[in-house]
Amino acid sequence: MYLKQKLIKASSICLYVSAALWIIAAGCAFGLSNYIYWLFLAFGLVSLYDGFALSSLADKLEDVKFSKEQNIRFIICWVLSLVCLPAFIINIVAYCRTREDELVAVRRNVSGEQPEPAPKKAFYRTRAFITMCISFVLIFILGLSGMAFETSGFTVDVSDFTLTRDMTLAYNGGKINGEKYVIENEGSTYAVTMYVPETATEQSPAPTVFVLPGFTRTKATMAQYCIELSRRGAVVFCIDPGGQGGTTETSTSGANGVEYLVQYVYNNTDDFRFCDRSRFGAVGHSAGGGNVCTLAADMAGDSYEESIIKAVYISGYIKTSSANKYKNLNCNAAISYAYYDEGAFRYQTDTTSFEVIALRFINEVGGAENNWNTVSYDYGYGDMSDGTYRIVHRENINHCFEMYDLTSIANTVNFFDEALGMNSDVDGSSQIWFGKELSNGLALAAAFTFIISLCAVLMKIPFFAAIKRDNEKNTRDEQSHGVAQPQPAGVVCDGAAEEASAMKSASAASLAAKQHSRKTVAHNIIFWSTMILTAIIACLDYIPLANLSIEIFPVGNSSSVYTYVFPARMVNAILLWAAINGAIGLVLFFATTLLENAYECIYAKAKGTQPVYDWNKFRPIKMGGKNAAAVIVNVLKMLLLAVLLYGVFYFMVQLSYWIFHQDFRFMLISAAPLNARMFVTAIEYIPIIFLFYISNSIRVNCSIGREGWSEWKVLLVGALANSVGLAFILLINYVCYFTTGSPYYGYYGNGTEVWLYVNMVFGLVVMMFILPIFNRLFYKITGNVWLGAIVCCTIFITMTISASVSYIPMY
Amino acid sequence: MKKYLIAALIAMMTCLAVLSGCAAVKGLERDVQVILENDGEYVGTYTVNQFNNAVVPEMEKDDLMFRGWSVLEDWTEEDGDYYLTENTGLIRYDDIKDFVVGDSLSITLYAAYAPIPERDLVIAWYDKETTSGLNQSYMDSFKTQLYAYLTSQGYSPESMDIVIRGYSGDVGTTCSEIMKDSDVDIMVGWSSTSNITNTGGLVEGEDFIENNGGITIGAKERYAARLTDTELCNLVYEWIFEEYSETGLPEDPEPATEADLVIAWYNRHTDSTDSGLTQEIMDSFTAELNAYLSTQGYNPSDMQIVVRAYSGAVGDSCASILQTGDVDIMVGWSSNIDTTGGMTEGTDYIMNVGGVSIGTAERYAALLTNTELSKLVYTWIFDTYSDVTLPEIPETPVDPDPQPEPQSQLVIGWYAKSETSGLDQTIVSVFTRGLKEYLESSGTECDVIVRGYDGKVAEVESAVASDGDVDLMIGMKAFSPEGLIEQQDDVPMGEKTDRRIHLLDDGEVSKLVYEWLKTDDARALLLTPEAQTKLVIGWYAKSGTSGLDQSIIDNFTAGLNEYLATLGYTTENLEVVVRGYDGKVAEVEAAVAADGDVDLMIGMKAFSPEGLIEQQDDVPMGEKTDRRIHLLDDDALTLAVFDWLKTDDARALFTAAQEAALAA
Repeated sequence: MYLKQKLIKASSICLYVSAALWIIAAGCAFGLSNYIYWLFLAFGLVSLYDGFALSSLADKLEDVKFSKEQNIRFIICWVLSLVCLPAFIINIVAYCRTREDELVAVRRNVSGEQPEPAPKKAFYRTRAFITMCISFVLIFILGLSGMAFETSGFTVDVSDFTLTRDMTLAYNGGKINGEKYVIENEGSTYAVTMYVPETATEQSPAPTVFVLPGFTRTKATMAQYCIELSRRGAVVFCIDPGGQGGTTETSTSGANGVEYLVQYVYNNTDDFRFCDRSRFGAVGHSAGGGNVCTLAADMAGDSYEESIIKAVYISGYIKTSSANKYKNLNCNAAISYAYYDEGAFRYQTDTTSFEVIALRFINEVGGAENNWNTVSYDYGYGDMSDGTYRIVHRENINHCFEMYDLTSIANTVNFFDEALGMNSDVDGSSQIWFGKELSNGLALAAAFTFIISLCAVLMKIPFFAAIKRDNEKNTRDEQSHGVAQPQPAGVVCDGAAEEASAMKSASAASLAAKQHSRKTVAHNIIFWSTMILTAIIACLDYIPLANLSIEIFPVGNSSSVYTYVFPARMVNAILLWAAINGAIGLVLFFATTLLENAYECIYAKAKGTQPVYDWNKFRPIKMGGKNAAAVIVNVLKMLLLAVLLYGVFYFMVQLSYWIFHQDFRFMLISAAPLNARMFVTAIEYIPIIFLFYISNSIRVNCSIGREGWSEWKVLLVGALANSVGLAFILLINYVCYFTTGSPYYGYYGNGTEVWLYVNMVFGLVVMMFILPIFNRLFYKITGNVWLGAIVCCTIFITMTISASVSYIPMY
Repeated sequence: MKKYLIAALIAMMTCLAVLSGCAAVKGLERDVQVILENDGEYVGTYTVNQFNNAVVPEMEKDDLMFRGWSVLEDWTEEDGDYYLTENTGLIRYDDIKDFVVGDSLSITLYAAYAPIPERDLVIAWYDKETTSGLNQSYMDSFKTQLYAYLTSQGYSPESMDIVIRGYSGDVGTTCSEIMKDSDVDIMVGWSSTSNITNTGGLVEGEDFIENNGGITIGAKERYAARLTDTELCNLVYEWIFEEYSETGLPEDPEPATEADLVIAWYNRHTDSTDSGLTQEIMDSFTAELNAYLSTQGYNPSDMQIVVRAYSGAVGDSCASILQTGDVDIMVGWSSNIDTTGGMTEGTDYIMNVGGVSIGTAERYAALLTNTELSKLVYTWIFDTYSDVTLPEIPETPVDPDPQPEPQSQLVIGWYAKSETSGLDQTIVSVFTRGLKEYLESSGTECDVIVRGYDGKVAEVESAVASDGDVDLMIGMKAFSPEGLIEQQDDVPMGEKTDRRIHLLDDGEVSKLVYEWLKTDDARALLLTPEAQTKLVIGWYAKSGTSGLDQSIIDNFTAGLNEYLATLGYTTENLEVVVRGYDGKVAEVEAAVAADGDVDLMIGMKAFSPEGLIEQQDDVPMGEKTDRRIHLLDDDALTLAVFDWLKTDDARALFTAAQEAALAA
């Protein structure tokens, strides 16, 4: 019956895979607003449960011939396996096997002698310590590597400065002058990064380009433009827009600050003699694109010769309000709009569509009306020598990744090379910025590794080790009082135990085995149904909650009103989502535990046996300690450890930034140096969002981790369970988008634009995938679910806030 | 190890799937060819897919309105909008996807027309509640009240075609759509004039007549704009302000008065802006002001002191003040009269200082004029209502960016040391003519003076500095004048290739000509022209009329030959013909035309030959003082001789004999 068993097992695996495919198909159908998704979901569940049933059947198979009951069950399962044709066929083959050879390799799970415990190593030879050291060193190596790329092999000087009102006042008497170009608020400042290539000198001033990121982005997300332009000889200034990054001004005045910066640099001939004032350019992405268009229009003067900005590159922004300024430009200009820009769904009329705006762009030049009827992409219209040059690009990428697209960056660089006379012999397609991105990304991974291994090292210190020790002591106490513990498969009770305890153990093992076998199908159904249900809820409630966040926090969602009350507009959606889903997770966890124990009670009574309750799920939630005071002490120690780890993490970020001007990031995920505004903002959000983190930690450690699986499977299932719901948002959205041209989540409710919230999911999915893994690792180190949740919550939320926008009025 | 291998394999396959998925995405695009026809005539073919729209022409037909493109060849309004494209000038995939049959990837659309609706009134409202405060419910209520009002005015709104239409999107989008619809009479819910012009793209005076704020139809105070000038539109517009505004429709700005002092105060009290000033407060202020003026030797009862209220948003109130043009002091505004109000420091106002508490709020006071009285009162305001120390009031308004006077004269110096500079009079004459033609074609009015400088470089530098009015210098090389702005190197001039053009002045015309001198056309004028081998000068031999006789002509010819020698022309390389023409003017004109080789004509007056290029008037010749020199050819040498004939030395040749005779 060995082969028969294997065949049935294989069939169950096919059904699991089929279940996943059906659920994905259900997501796709949902994205296409086709109600058949209900059918697909039903098929998926049938496939999944059928797999459980078959797997259970295979486990209990004792003979190649089915018993009567088994036969009936198998036939039912076989019929249901129609939802998965391969499984159906395999089941036929399995059913037809009525004879087997008896040559069966019985795998005995009982190990022989107990392995001798490993000798205790010196702390510096432990794996944790070595890992900590290696990751620490790696952070610095990668910082240096990132710096090398950012400075183009140390040929570009990169530095930060803060633009203040006094600075703009001091230089307001130059060619660009007037109150309009002075920072209005006394305490407002703008964070600026400056790239000065070594070829830019007073004797040989260089073209100068101003780079502006879009909404919720920081200047670090535009580093690729800065690197490639400075590498080709341009001086580059990159500024954090209002309310974002290190900028304390919260409004969008001064075209989000870039006009103040241009005034300062242009008029300041004391400090910026290496900038060629006759060759200024500007590039911005998304909202930043609109801002640089405003900048170029406001400083256009009466002619190309008078225009301060000689070349402007407007990326990812085609609003009509911006298009109305095209005729006012007296400079060479380029626009690019991603072919798959999700925001295009808003512009589908004959006054707003990209095609119409592009036509206006090439026709409304310098106040004159050209008469082009069609736009050829990548074709240069007009003449650069008189500021009438226009070019339109359309790269095959989406909105939020356009800034990381090689073609897009090449187009930008080539444009400025020609328009500002950079005369670079480095082709636009030759790019090195991803070296910095990769270095920073690996540094981020190294930093996380460092923190986790640091935790393991610190937990060896007696002061902190008590946390885990007391937890384990509580566990042993519970075990010694005869509470049956479901033993993971493969472990046999210690044969050296006394006879009484041996009998108890045998009894316990027997009960555990019974419990294990009784939980197999029902437990699996509950377990996986819960998993699927939470994923569906997480998927479907994200956008409604994002929309709700706009209504609940209206003041905090407006860029023109500043508030201390949840001022991070985009993160408010995550706040609600985390709180709701965290609460749901906790309710489901406790409810299913109650349900399972209630089922055990009913089943045992029906069978006339002793019920074996499983309350040990809650054990990792409890803090150890011989009494209440000791528990409190352990809690405080744990909090101290959490603060320490958080502090060390951000100290490493700051240290890396001080030394190498590098933080830890990869595209949309970043850990930037802390500033007061973002820190205070994060503090507001952490307590509420913590609900989600502790819920996840409990789920992965108290539920998934107790399934008796191998550790890698626990991590994988936990990671997938936590992220698949969000991943399905992307699936639904983009299946609809690529099929119809409009995203599924474009407008919601009363016409609220929600597509930007979907863009956030890209980074969120990755963090939600990593979170259970971290929670599990911290749990293994500390023996409780709390530390991982606290550390992950504080760090992840601070990262999220720092990479977003906050309208907190702090200067 | 096995698990890691499996994990790595899964990761690789996932990456491959993602990468190939990206390519597969393109496969989901469905290109559809759209053929357009208008009344049976082919218009064009366009391709659309999910990510590509097509901009298409909008058709016109007499007395009909173009409604868009339809899958139905004979679409009528009864067929409804389902068969129409959503836009008239844009075809989208969504418009045609339901009509593309089976595997076909092509569809034909037909121009659809409908009768032009005759609307009585169209009111557009800004359907963005978070910004405008308006929603359908508010507008339904508005409509009810409007109908009631119109009924009271004798209209029958139920039988009229009154449309109240919402526009959603941002300001730019909605304003563009309103312009496209071109039937809107009134807009409600948008913002200030600067917003609908700068961001919305509307042009005041073209797209809308007026835009006034202070109306609250919904939850917020917003603006209403009037786009047309019909009787009904005006009636309804006024009603909107009567019904929904506390301050009513702003009156037309008062004409500039002969007042001694005009003080504007900001009458605004909203959640976001409160000037703290009321009529009562200002009455009290006026009384105190009068009392103060009395102590300063003024008699307020004999003076006309106007204290005038301005309401509305900052931009509109400031615009109104500028339009009125008689305000001396503004009180109650904030620091943003420049950024938001559109006023310019130094031009529209002298200074704007805060810390003034005339009313219940600390605000700003701006000084707009520099009269003794306004400065006195301004100072008094700060002494009385502020703890702020008033900065010194400048004597004259400081214009931070003074507009330079237009350049009326352009002086071009040229290095007359021909063997060094390569320039000679012929070249300079041709160049001067080319320059004047260029200035004329560019619409630049400016006197051009071309002046030669000879001698050593230092001497030339000294002479140029001494003259002080040279804007451009051509032909020098080692030339380092004071005030040198820029130079062009290696400029070919004559037979030289290393000359320079120096820019000494940054006037508009100087810079313009300097830039022009970089062009090939300009530089061609500085090259050695083709050598001329014959010069024919005609003279009016009717001595009694022209004043010329043979002796004068002989004298002139000698002088001419001397001049030509300075240009390198001798009898060996140039044939100089001086030919007399007698008879009546018409006979002379005919003879000159018949000969066809006359370059210059001297002694005529009423002479209108074909090919006349230029003439010099009132040239003394003999006893006559009103003779003319006519230029009939534009060869370089001829031009040079023509220019030479303007000089005193040349002209003296026509009168030397006469003077000698007189002296004798």
